[in-house]
Amino acid sequence: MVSPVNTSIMPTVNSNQGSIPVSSPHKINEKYDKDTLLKNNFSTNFRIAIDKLTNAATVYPAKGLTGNKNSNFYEFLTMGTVPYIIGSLTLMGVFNSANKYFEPFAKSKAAKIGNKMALGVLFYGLAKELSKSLITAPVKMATGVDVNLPYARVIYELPDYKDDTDITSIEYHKVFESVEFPRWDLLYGDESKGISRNAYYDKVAKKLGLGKNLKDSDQEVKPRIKEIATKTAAVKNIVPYLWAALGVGVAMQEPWDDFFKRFSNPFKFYKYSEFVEHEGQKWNFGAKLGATVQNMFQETGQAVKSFGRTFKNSVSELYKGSKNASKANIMAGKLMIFIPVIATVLGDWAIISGNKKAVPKKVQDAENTGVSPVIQKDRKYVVN
Amino acid sequence: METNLINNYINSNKNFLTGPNKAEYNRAQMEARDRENFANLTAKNNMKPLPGKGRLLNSSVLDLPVDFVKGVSYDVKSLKGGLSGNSNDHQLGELNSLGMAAGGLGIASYLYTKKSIPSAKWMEFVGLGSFFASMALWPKLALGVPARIIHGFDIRQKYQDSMGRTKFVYSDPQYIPWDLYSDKEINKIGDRLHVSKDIPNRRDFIQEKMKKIALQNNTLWMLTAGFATPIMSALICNKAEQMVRNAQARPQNSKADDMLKNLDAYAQKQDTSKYRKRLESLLKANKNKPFDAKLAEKIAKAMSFGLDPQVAAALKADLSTEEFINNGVQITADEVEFALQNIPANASRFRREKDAITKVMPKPEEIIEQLKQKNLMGRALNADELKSARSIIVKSVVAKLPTVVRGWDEACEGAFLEDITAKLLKDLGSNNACRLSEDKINAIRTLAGHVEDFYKKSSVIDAYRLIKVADEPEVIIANKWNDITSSFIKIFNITPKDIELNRFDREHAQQMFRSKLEAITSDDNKYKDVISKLAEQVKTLDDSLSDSHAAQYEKTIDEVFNKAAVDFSSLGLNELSEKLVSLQFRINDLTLPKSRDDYWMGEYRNKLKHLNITEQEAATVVERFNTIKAIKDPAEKAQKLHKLLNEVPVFNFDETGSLKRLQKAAFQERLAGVRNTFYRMINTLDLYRRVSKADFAGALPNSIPREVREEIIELSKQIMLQGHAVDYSTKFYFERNLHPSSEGGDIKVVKGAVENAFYKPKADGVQRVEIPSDLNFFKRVMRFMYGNTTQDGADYGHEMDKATQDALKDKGLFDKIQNYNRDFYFTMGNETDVLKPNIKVSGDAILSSPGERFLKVAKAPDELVTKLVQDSFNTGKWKSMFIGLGIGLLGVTVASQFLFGKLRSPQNPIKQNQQRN
Repeated sequence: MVSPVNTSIMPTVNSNQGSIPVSSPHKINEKYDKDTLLKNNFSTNFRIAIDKLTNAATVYPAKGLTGNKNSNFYEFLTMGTVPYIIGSLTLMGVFNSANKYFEPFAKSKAAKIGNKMALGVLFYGLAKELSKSLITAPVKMATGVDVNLPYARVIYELPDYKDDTDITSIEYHKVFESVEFPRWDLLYGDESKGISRNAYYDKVAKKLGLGKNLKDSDQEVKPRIKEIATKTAAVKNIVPYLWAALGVGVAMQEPWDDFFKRFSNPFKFYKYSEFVEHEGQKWNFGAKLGATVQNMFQETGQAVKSFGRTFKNSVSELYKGSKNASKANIMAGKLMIFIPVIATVLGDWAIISGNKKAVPKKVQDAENTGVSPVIQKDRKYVVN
Repeated sequence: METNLINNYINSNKNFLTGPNKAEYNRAQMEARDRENFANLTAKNNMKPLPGKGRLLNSSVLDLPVDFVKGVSYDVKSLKGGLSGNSNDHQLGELNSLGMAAGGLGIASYLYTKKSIPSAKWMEFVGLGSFFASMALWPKLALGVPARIIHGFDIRQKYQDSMGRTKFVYSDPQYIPWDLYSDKEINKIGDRLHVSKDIPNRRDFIQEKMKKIALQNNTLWMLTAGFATPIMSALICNKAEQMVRNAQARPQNSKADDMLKNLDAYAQKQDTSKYRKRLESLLKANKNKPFDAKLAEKIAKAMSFGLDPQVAAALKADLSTEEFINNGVQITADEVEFALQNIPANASRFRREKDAITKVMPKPEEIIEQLKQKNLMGRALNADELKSARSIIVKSVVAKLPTVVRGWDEACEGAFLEDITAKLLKDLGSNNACRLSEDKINAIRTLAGHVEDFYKKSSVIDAYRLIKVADEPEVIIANKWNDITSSFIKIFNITPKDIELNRFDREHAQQMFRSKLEAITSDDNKYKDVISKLAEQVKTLDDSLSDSHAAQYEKTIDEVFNKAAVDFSSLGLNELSEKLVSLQFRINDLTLPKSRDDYWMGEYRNKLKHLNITEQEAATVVERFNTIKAIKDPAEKAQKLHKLLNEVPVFNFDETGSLKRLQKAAFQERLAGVRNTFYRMINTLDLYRRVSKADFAGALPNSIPREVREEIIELSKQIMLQGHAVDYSTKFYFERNLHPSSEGGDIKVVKGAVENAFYKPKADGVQRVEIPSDLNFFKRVMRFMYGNTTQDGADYGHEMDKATQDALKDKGLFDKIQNYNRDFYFTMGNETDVLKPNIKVSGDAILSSPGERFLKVAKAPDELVTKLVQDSFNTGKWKSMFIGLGIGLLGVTVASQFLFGKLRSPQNPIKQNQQRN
C-alpha cells in the first residue's frame, strides 16, 4: 500500500509531492529544488523582505495586470505592502505637498502639522512592525516555538509559452502561517544527515516541560504548538496596532515642533556646503569637500542626538501631558502608554502560561495512570 | 478493520493505469469500474461527501446593519477562540481588522482629548471613519461598479463557504468556487462579455475571462489603493468639517439661549462640591486656631469658589475687618480683672500718674455687675456689643481720673483713650477673640453660601458668554464671522485667478478689490444683486447675536450682580460688594466734594452732567444711601439697598471698573468689532456706488472747486477701503495741492472710477502737501463718507444710494446702519488732535476711548479681503491638488477596465472546417 501522503488523488500538475521534503535550513541564495526551511535571522529576513518588496513592486503587478494564469493568492497578498507604502507616502503628501504654495506664516503653521503627521505615519509603521517581536520573542524563549520560522516554497508554474523551461517560482512563507495546516513536514530532521527525525519536536517538548526522550514527541507537541501558534497569531493581529497608536501619540507631542524647526529638511545639503563662496576664502577643492563632508557628519550627528532627546521628551510629555493639557488628555496619554505594555505582557502570559500549566498535569496523570492523554495505544487512529 | 476506500480507489486506478493488460480494458469496463468504486464509496458504506452548503451572497444596502452585527459577533468569537487557541485561519485574519480599528480608535480618542477646538475633536473620529470608509469604498466604487457596468459581473462577489465563512470569490485566482455559479448565470455573463455562443467549452472560456478580469482588477486595486485611500479620506474630511462644525454649533447656540432663560435651573447644576469640601476641611483643620491674616487669606481663597482672584482679595479684606474679627467674643470675669490691671500700664502717655491712676481704678466686681446688668457677659457678643462693654469700662475708669490727673481736659481724655483702647479690646476677648471659633465658622459658612450662590449664577453667565463671543475659534461669533466673510468670495466674484495673484500682498489685494467694487457699483443690476446678498449675509448675524441677545445678557448681569452686591453689603462684605458693582464709587461721584472751590465743584458738576442727574437728585440719593447704611437689620438693609439700586438709573450706568462692567464690556466689544466690520463693508460699497453714479449732491456741491472735490473723493475711497482709527485721529494726513485750481464743473466718472481733471499725483508734477489749516476738508470728507440727511432731520451730509437703502430696508438693517453712521460721524469726527485741535465735524468734543474708536472703525475691508484671499488660496490650492489627483486616479482606474479581460477566443472547429472548405 502506498502512503496517502506520497500520492495525491488530486490531478496536480508539476507537483513537488514526490517525496517528503525533509530539509535542513538552507541558505537563501541557493536554488531550491524543493520546499526548504530557512533560518530565522536578520540577514534571511532582510533578504526575504527585499525579495518580496521587489516582486510586489515589479513582477507581481506585471503578472496581475496582464492576467497571467500563474498569478496566485500569495502574489496578491504580497502586493498588499504596495498600498501600505504608497499610502503612507500619500498621507504624508496630503499634509505637506500643498504647503510650499502658501504665504510664509500659513506655510510655517501648516508645516508644523504636516511634519507631525508625517512622523506619525512613520512611527505608526515602525511601532507596528517592531512590536511584533515583543510578542514572538518571549514566546520563542519560553516555549521554543518560533512562529516566524520562514521557509521557501517551490512553485511549479504552467509554462507561459510553448518552450518555457523556467517553470518554477519561489515563495517565502512561514511554517506556522496557517494554524490549520502548519508545515509539520519541514520540521522533521533528516536522519541521513545525522539529525534525529524528531529533533525539533524533542526540543520543544523539553521546553514545554513534557519531558525528555519521549517516544512520539512530534505527536505529543503538535497540538501544543498549534495552540501556541493560534494564540500568538491572535495576539499578533491586535497588539501591534496598540503600539502603532502609541507611536502616533508620541509623534503628536510638542517637542517635535522644535526638532523640525532645526532639522526641517535633511536633504538641504547646501546648508552645510563649504563650496558656497565665503569672503576671503581661498580653499582648494579637497579642503572644501573635506569641510563639507565634516559638516554633513556633524549635522547628521546632531540630528540623531536631537532626535533621541526629542523622542524622550515626547514620551515624557505624552505621559505627563503638555503645559495646558486637560485632565482627560493627561489620563489618555498615560493609557496610550500603559495599554500596549499591559496588552503585550498579558498576551505573552496568555500564550506561554496557558500551555505550561496544562501540560505537566496531563503528563503527570499519564504517568500515574499509565494512560497517555495524547496517544492512547489501544485505540486506532486514521492518520490524516 | 475498516476498508480504506480512498486507498483502494487509488490503488485500483493505479493498476488500471499502469497495469500490463492496459489494452484489454475498453471504455465500458472503465466505466463499470468507476461505477463500482462510486457505489463502494457511497451507498454501500453510507459514506459520501456532504452536499456543499456554499452560496453566493448578494447583499444589498438593507443587509448592512445585519452584516455589521454578524461581523462584530464573528470578530468577538474569533478573538475568544484566538486567545484560547481554537480559531482557524480565516478567523485570525479577521482579527487583523479588529486590531486596526482598535488602534485607530485609540489614536482618535487620544487626539480627541488633546485638541481643544470642539469640531477638531470630533474630526479625529471623522478622520478615522473616513479612512476606513475610503479603504472599503475605493475598490467598490472605482473598480467594482465600473467592472460591473462594463463586464456585467461583480468582481467583488462574496460567497459563504460550507463552514459559514464569508469570502471573496475571486481573491485567489487558483481557487475560484465556480460551482457556485449556475450555467445560466455564467452564460448570461458570457453574453455581456460578448463571448461567441458557438465555441466549444463556452463555460470554461467565460470563466477564464472572468478570472482574468477579476485578477487584473485585484492587482489594480493594490496599485491604486495607496494613493486613493488617503486622498479620498482627506477630501471627505474636508467636506465634513463644515458639517461637523454646524452640527455642534447649532445645539450649542440654543443651549446658550436657554441658559439665560433658565438661569436658576442651570445655576443649580453647577458643581461646587470641590470648593465646599476644600472650605470645610480648611475650617475643620483650623478650628479654634488664631484667626490671623494668613488664615483669613486662605479662607477667603477657599470661599471665593474659583471666582476671580479679585473676589478673593476683597473677601480677605472683608474678613479682616474689626467687625468680623471681634464678632462672637465672650467676656469673662478674669478678663475684666486682667484688663483693668493693665490699663494704667497701657496709658503710656500718663506714666508719671501711673500709681495715682492705679489707686482710683474701679473694682472689677463693680464693672462685672454693670456688664451683667446690661447682659454683656456669659454670651457671645457682636462687634457693637463688645464696643459698649468697652465703653462701660472706659467710662468708669475715666470718671475718677480728673481727681488724680492734674489739668485733665478733653485732649487728655482723647490721648488716654487712644492709648488704652486697642489693648483693652484685645484683653477683653483674649480667651476667644481672634480665634476661629464655632461662631465664626458658622458665620463664614453663611457668607460662603451667598458667595456660592453668586458663583453658580455668574458661572452660567460666563458659560453663555464663552459660547457666544469668546475670543476662541468656533464659538458662535467666530463661526458667524467665518460664514459671512467666506461668502464674500462669491458675492464679490473674486475668481481663483484673483486669489492666486493677490494672495501675498495687501497692496495687490487692495487694488484688486477696489476695481471689483468700481465694476460692481457701476452696473445697476450687479450692484442691486451684490448689496442685497451682502445685506442678507450680514443679517444672519442677528440670528444668534442680535441686540435683543445683548440686552437679555445685560439684564441678567444687572439682576445677578445687583442682587449679590446688595446681599454681600448687608452681610458686611462691603469690599466684595464694591468689587461687583462699584456702589460706593458711584455714591462718591454723587457726593458733594469736601472742598467747595471752583475746581472741585466744576469736576463734580461735570460728573453729574455725564451721569445725567441733577444736584438735587444726587443729594437725595446720597442721603438715602447713608440712611440705609445705618440700618442694623441685614434683611431690611438689603431690601432697601436693592430698591435704591433698581430705582436709580445712575447705578446701572456702570462705566466704573467693576466686575459687572467687565462682564458686559467683554460681550459688547466682541460684538461691536464684528458687527461694525460688516457695517463698514456695506458703507464702503455704498460710497463707491455714489461715486459710480456721480451722486454728489448734498455733501459735495459744485461750489467746491473741482480739484478739491477730486481730492475728497479719492481720499474718501481710500479711507473707506483701507483706513484705520489712527487716520481719523490725525484728521486724515493727505497730500494735496496747496493752490488748487478754482475751476468748477462736474466730476467725470467712467465705470466707477473718477477720471480726474486735476488731481493726478503721479503725473502732473505738482508738489503736494498736507494742509493742516484747511478747516473744511476733513469735515467734507467725513460728510461724504458718514454724514446722512435721512435721520433726525440732520442737515449734514448725504443720503445713501437708493439701491442701498432699498436693500437695507428689505433686510431690516437700514436704521441700524444709519445709527452706526451717525454715531461714527460724531465720535470719530469730534476727536481732538495735537496737530489739528480745531478740526472737528461739530463744535463739542466727544470723549471716547481708543478702544471704542478702534472697534468703531473695525476691520478695513481691504485687510479683510487680503486675509480671505490668503485663506481661500490655501484651502483652494490644497483642494485643487488633491481633487485633481483623485479625479485623475479614478479616470485611469475606470479607463483600465476597457483593457481588461482580453482573451483570444478559441476557434470553433466546425467554423474552422467550414472556413477551410
